[in-house]
Amino acid sequence: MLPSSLPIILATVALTAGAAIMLAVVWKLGFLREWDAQARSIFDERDFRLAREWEGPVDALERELQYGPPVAPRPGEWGGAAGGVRDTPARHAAPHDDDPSHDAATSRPAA
Amino acid sequence: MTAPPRPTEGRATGPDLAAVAASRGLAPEDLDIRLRADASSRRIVLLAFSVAIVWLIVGSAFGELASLKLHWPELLTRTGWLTFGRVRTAHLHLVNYGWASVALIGTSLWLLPRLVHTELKGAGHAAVGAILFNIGLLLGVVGVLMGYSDGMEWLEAKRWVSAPFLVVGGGLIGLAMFRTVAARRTDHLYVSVWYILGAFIWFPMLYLLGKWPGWSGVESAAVNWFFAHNVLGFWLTAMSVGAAYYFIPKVLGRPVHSYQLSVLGFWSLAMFYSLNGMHHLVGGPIPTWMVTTSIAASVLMFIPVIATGINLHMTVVGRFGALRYSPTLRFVVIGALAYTAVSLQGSFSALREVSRITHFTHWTVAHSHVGGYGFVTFVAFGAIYYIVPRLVGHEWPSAKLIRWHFNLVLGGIAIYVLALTWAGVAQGLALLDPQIPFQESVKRSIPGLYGRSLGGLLMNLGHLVFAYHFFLMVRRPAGVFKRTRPPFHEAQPVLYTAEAERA
Repeated sequence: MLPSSLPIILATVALTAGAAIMLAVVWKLGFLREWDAQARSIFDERDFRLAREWEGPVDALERELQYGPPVAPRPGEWGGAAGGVRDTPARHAAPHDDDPSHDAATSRPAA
Repeated sequence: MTAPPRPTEGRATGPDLAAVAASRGLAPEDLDIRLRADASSRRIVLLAFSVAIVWLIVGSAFGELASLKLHWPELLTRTGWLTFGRVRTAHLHLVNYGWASVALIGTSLWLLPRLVHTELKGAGHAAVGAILFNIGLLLGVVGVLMGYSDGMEWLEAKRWVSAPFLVVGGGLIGLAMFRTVAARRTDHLYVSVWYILGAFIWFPMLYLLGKWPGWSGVESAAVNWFFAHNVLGFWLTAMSVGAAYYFIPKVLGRPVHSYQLSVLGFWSLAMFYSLNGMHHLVGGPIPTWMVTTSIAASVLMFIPVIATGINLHMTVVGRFGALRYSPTLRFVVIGALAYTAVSLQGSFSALREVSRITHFTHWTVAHSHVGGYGFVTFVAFGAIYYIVPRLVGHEWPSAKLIRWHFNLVLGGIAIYVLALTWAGVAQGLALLDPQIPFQESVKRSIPGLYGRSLGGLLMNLGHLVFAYHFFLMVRRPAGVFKRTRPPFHEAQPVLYTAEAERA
């Protein structure tokens, strides 16, 4: 008769050994190198240049010197309603940052 | 007024893309990648969020009803499907598999293409999978309410009715994830990708183990807690931590404090988490070594928890002012704090000396809500606030509604956890005292149960506000969103330039 702990032992071995084997494989394949590049891989240039109101003048200057002139965030950039949508068609129609069918400055479809 | 087009399914090319990208400070290839990634996942992610919010409303209403019944036992006792045992189980299924899982699946489906710089591969079968998954959940919950259950906590949905839909549906979603990563255009896999992929490898293994029809007696108790605890650590936690590692650095515009620590956190979670569940069986009829090993594994969890907690905290430190400006950051940072708190709490409560007081009391319910709500749900809220504007093409309509949502859910969970933690300790101490009759231990916890219902009520109200706001957001009414109140952060609006004011 099998002990009641057997399924737990087998499942734990599978999960732990599986993780250990995967760690060895990804290490061998080179996925655990170039840490700094990996940490920065979620950003593009714009992310670093976006003006962030919560940053003080020193931080803003540091950001500008490092990454270039600041870029204004789009409405809702930080996940909220902070853009202050006004009741004018142009403001209401403001698209989000990634929509190329609109011109950023005028909120009208780009030519 | 003609409604502006939503983010397009196609892509802008040539001079258009270059000009728009330049005007927004983006390299054309960066903009192209983002556009294609978001367009490919847009429908499935919006579907997932919409359904998840429905489950959140229904599931938390069941939770509130179950809570009321604990101090108002005669409430709705004549209707079978509204009895405590059924509504509590329905609550657990709907909020864990319906709300949290589906919302985080949606978040992961949006994140993954962005992280690996490609489109979502297999969005069609992922959508079919999401539909099947939700059908399975619905069948399971209706079955539970009708009195059909497999009798294992967290796994009550009937094996041969609900599980096939969940397995096939989840499998189709997971297939899309792996196809997307296989088609990646990046050399690296950011740590969030590890967490998401890990979740989609671990959860099927756990679910199949838990639903295996051969378990009985003590064996089923051990498998039950092996599943129930690991589904938190390997499924909900994995996707939530993965999301936190994306949103916090992204909003702040600074890389995570230590990438090495984030990788250490992931792999130590993978190595040490699996045995944690047995600490729920302290004193139970299972081999002592299993419980002791589980306690040791729980203490080993300090490694990933401290690694992740320190890392996320140090990423934000010096920038806490940003929480005033970004709802996403506010929700996700509080979620990350709750992750650290609940994990350390869990490690300590695994110790026999602590467990002998808190075991079988309301304390455990408070603990699970710090994790399931304070951590997982807050991260999901933050993710939805960030993602949806990028899918529908406009910002959230009302800063006021965001503030109401945030204050209600934060106030609700704070009251809930404090009340039940106090009630649990009082109950546990009374249970340990042989001079105190059992009934007295119940009476001592009743004030905490009132606090639980009050906290739950506030959270329910917060969910209604959030659901209404989400509805406004995706419905995109023809009218104009008027801002009659200060913006979210109650300071100068981000885009109120002098030119905009003059216009």
